[in-house]
Amino acid sequence: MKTRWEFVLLPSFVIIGILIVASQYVFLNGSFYKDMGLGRIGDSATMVNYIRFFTDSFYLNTLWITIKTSALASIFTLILGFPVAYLIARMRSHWSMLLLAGIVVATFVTIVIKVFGLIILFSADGLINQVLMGIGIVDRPYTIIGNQTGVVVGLMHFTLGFGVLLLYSVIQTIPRSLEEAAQIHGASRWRMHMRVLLPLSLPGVTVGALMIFNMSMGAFTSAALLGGGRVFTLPVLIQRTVMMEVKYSMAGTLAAVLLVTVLLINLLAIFLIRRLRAARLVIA
Amino acid sequence: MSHVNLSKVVKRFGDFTALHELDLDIKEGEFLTLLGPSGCGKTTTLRLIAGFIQPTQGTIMLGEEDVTQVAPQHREIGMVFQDYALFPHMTIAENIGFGLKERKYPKADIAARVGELLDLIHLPEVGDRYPAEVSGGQQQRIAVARAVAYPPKVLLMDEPLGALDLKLRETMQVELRRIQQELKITTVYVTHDQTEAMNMSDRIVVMNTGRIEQMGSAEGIYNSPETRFVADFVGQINLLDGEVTGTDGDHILVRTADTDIRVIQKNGAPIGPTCVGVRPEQLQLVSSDSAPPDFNVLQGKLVGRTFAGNLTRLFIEIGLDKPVVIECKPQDAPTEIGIDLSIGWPIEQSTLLNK
Repeated sequence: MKTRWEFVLLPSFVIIGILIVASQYVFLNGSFYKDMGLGRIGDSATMVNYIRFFTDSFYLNTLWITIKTSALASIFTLILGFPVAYLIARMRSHWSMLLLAGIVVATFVTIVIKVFGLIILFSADGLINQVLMGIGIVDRPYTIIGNQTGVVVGLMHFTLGFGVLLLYSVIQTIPRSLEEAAQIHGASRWRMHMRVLLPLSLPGVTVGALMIFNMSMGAFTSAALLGGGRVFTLPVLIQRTVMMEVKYSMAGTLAAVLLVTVLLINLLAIFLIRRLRAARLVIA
Repeated sequence: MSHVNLSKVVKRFGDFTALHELDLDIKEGEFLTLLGPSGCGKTTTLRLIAGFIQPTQGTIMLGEEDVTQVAPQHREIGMVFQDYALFPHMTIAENIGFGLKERKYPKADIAARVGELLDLIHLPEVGDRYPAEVSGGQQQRIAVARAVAYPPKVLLMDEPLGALDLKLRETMQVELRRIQQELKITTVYVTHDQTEAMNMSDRIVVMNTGRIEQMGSAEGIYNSPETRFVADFVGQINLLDGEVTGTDGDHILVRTADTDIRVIQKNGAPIGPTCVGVRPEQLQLVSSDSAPPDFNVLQGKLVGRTFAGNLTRLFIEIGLDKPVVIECKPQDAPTEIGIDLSIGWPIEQSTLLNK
């Protein structure tokens, strides 16, 4: 008897299917039924949850806050990450590998620990407030816990490591000789960045920005901890709807909206990149 | 266009000294090649002139200006890179006009100059294309056009032909030399390929381990190498290790392979170990009894032969570490391996290499 090789691969497909697809399916499917209270759901399909989402300003506002904080976090992560990634990518010494390893390790330390570190730093008598008050920029402690700034900082904190790694890999693919060619033929460092480095890294940076945005849209821990129960992003609200309100169907609806929003934004971005590419504004 | 002067230039990277007190003067309009193996300091020298790195000590003059501390973009230099470094997101016309745009030339002037340069490199049609859409040899010429667009004081080329195949390389050597002479531009060319260096240069500087071994014309370096390194690096040569035993009239006597050979050396040479270099094409097959009197003659045994089309190389064992290589016409080459042979060469064609 001939053993078909494909059968050996089948179990992992099934397991991955259950873990990724089925678990979401169950939840998303629930979104089309009415919550009956105490975790029970109705038995006839209805759009009532979706109608509620798009007519209730609280939910719409949550969606808007989620997109806004994620977009801001992505932009600031890229702006902060680019110089660091550039420096590491262009370093000639062994320090570059060490720094990169440091960033990887820091990235994979559980976000709970990192966010608590952040909370301590930003607390009323924490280091940052002491410094800010010491030089007189603020006259009373400034807090980032429980406001949108805090959520943006938390999301950046979550994504910065990935951002630097992504940008590092993009910059690495741009030969150093292109920078030198720009300089020797008359471009200052600034002009070199504007005319050569940024245009060439744009496609990679856009893809990186999307990944960071996607991570932020789905981020729960940092948003929950820094939101302090006062700022709701969709993932935070989903958790709350499931755990506190026990409304599985509504939670499913929120999850579906989040999923579709992320998908649409990504499709739009890909479409725009294609257009730019076709117009030769960026290279493949 | 200017002359270039490097004076007592030292470059250290940490503990490693890449250049030891280099003095180099490149004349106006000259095509000078820095030739040497990798790690000899030739690329470091070029990058110092470009300003990508700063010397640890010493000064670099471009014309009458000390540029040692001047940033690359203010040195008015053109450079062709090993990988061409054309900007992939710009058209070829934009690439060529890059330096002009950075120097705030009016648009119309840039367009006119780019057209001129495309004619110079014989590629008038490619202006609107992108670098990825033209061949390697064309990219190479475009890189040259970009480098000379804003008339540079000096043109630097860092192994620009390394990525091309042999046939194209030969065509491009002629082409580069033509462009250089048409523009009469001072050029510093870096290569490890001695044929390339000899084909193109007015003057060759042979470098090794951060020092200049010898400089001169291609003929000078090939015919009168001063050191063992130069003799070995430039062209093929047989190095006969031996010992100076004394003098015989105008000649120095060297004992090698149990035979006394004579070498002309005006300045004399100390008694002791030495090395005599003879090029394969200078060696001839002779009969031991009828060799001319001004010939050195060695006895040996034929151990191998290779056919190279226009000539045949014979490998002759004479009792040294390596067999001696001689080149002769294919029709004159003996075919039987193992036969005893005599080889000879005119006394004045052997070179004493002291170090």
